[in-house]
Amino acid sequence: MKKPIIDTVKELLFAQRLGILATVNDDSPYTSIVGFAAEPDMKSIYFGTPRATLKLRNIQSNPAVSLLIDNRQNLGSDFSIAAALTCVGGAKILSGEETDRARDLLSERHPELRDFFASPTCALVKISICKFSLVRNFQEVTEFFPGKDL
Amino acid sequence: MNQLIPFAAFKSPGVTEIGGKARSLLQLMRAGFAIPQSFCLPVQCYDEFIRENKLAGRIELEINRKDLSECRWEELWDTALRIRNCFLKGKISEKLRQSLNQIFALIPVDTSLAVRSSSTVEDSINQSFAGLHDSYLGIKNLAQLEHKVILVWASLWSDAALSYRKELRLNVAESKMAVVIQAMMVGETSGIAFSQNPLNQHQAVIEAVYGLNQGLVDGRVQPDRWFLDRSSGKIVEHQKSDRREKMVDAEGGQILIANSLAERSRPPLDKSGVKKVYSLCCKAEKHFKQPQDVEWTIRQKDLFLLQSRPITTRSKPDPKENRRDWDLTLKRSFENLLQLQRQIKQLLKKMTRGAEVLERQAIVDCSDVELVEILKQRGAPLQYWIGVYWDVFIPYAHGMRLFGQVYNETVCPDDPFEFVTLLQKEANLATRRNNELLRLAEIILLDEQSKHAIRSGDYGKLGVAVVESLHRLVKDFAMPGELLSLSSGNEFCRNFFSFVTRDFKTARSRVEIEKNELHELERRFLAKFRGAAEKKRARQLLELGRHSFLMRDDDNVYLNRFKDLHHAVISEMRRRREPLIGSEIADYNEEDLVAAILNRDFRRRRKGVKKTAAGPKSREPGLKRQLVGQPAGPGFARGVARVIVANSDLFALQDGEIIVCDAIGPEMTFAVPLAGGIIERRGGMLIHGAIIAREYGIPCVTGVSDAIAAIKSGDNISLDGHLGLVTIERASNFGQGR
Repeated sequence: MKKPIIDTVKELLFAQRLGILATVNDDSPYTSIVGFAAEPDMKSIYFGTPRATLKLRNIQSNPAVSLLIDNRQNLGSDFSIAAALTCVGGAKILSGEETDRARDLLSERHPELRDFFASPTCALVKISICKFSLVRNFQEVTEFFPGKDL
Repeated sequence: MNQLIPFAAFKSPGVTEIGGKARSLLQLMRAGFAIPQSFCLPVQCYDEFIRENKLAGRIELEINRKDLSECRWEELWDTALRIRNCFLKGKISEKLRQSLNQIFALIPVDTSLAVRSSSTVEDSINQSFAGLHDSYLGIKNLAQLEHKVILVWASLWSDAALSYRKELRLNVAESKMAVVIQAMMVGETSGIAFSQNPLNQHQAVIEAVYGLNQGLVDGRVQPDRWFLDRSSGKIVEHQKSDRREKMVDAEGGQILIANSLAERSRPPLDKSGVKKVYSLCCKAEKHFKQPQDVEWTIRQKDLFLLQSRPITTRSKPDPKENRRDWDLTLKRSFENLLQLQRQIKQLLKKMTRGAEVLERQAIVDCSDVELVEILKQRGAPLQYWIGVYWDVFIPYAHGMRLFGQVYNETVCPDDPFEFVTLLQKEANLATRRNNELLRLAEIILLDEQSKHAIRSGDYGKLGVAVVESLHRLVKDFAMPGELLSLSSGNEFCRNFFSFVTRDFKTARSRVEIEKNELHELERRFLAKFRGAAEKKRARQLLELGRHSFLMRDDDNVYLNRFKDLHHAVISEMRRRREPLIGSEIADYNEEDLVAAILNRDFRRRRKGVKKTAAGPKSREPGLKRQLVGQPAGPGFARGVARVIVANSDLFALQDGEIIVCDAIGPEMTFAVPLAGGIIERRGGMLIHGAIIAREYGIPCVTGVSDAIAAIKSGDNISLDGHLGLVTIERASNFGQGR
């Protein structure tokens, strides 16, 4: 039997380390690779980035973002068995006490980056997800909404 | 080990290098059994072929397109056919070709070759399935040898193997195929021996025929059979056969020829021969330490062992219990299919005569007791014909599959389903029925009286030509019998006429396949066969394919005639008792109705409201945006979805809408010409929906598991018949993060 969708989504959100973040740079899309951590309720995702990066500047002027998380292995079989989750949402740069939860989750997920997340020049960003779209079996696409479907 | 290796030159290779069959043959040879001169292409050759032709990704994509456990057997056949075509398009390296060529210098002059599969996935389940992979006999030159080696490699991914994919642990990275090539041992007498009778553990069984044992294995030649006592080795019984024919190796393949008078009068084995064969299978049993099923042949008095495998007892599979095993039994040989063809032509005549007799019965004016009698008279033949449908008509569909396979092997087309075009020489019943509907629409258009009758719902006043056409539709084309109950205001008739007059006249007429294209394809196919005998066989195969293709739709139409006859009596019973019982009669089954007809006071005991099993089926979260199926009719369509649950939903179909349904039955195809596209849950390239979509040039995707659950009537959808995709177009939520 095919794996239930929810299992695939959880695997991507909680087993993958890196995702491709798309931000808006004026009228152009701009992509970067980020280490992320997801809340267990799957409603939000955190990542950290140095203060001066272009992605952070982009978010400051336009919070619309999309994060692609996938499990490809750079093999021919990826086309048929890899899955990719696009998380669409709004990004917010955290401040004050809000950063604690983000730092804890990120440090737990990426222990080797603990110092990076603790640095005062590292901005912690929260993406509130408004929609997921999951692609698997090469072309099968399913959309769902955090809180409602999951 | 990337070239041909004679058995004698092997050291001690494992299954992962030469596969299971080669290894067990090698063991037998080393243990002193006389086996034919044998060679092996180790799995490395398969690996090289896959690598050089970049096939791994293609196979991966094909077998993962859809969860194979959700696929019907027909879809597995399609998948296997696509993979097979990728192999057939592949090229063997020059080095391997030279290596293969050496074999002809190593075998005796004028000896044919046999090519047999030897896969690494062979284990207990594989051994119990003769025919999971392919073997070929009678190979006479290098070109044939190359071709058959490729086909044996491809058979690692046969439909049967895909069906047992999980048990075989079949996967692209690890599963491999080695090939055994043998000098064919053309014996005067051949057979099979079971060291232990599967039905009686104290006995052994020996079967023998004249000529090749291929005829015995295929079931085309009946053997003489001996039963021996296992403890004493004495013959207990000899069952003689008619010994009419034997199979021999000829120029164009193996053929059946008549036995001589001397052969007919003498069993293929004498007593000492039987003993010799028995001692061979005892030796094999001793060697493998379990009872064996041995193939053997005798050539110039020398006994050779061709194959030995453990005996597995398999009872006749029941489709309800094990659908996969049952599906595998449906495959038929060419000769067997030809027999079915002759049988079916007779059966159809019998069906028509039988239906005509039953149609003469008057069910409205008869007494209640007579009505029950008529129900019995119609029920028995219905059950009989349903049995025939499963036993004869369903296996006969393999006729077109066999043709497709041979067409692809000989022509090697880019499109593995090109052969379907060649099958469509004659319009089938469904297409002829659609033409009748078109004619009816034209009659109505020109007949003021009928137009008025339809507008006012007074169907008793329909013109003669219209009524005649309705009779033809019901009698010849199995449209629902309700069409003939022309009482005024009849809801069914109202919907039907609204459909026919509103839309059907705008329907496109059948897209005639260009005659030239058909001739060109036919010419290309037949040109591949040399010699009169081969050409005759090719023509026979084409004719078989066409007839089998035609029957695919027509068998249902013939059977529906009996279903309708039966249903008409049930409806009449309901009509008679409705005034007494009321609307609840709709829930009465056949048994209840008979009771109610014979006893006016009968009332069915009210049953508790049936609970649906374990509540609503757990549904996957989310909304499907894009679904994947099998590309079954090329083209792209965008339009409004019309989900069909009951057949009558089809009357609501608007021109250009996309039909979404479980499966298009032949009784539904009348609406197809109106559709902009077709999406079916049921999968396959040779199912009704796909066939008729191709016939009309309508884009079609089949095997979309979630189609009915995910799509609602009125949804805007697009359908990609080239890639097998269905996209449900919804307003995008992207950009909400702003």
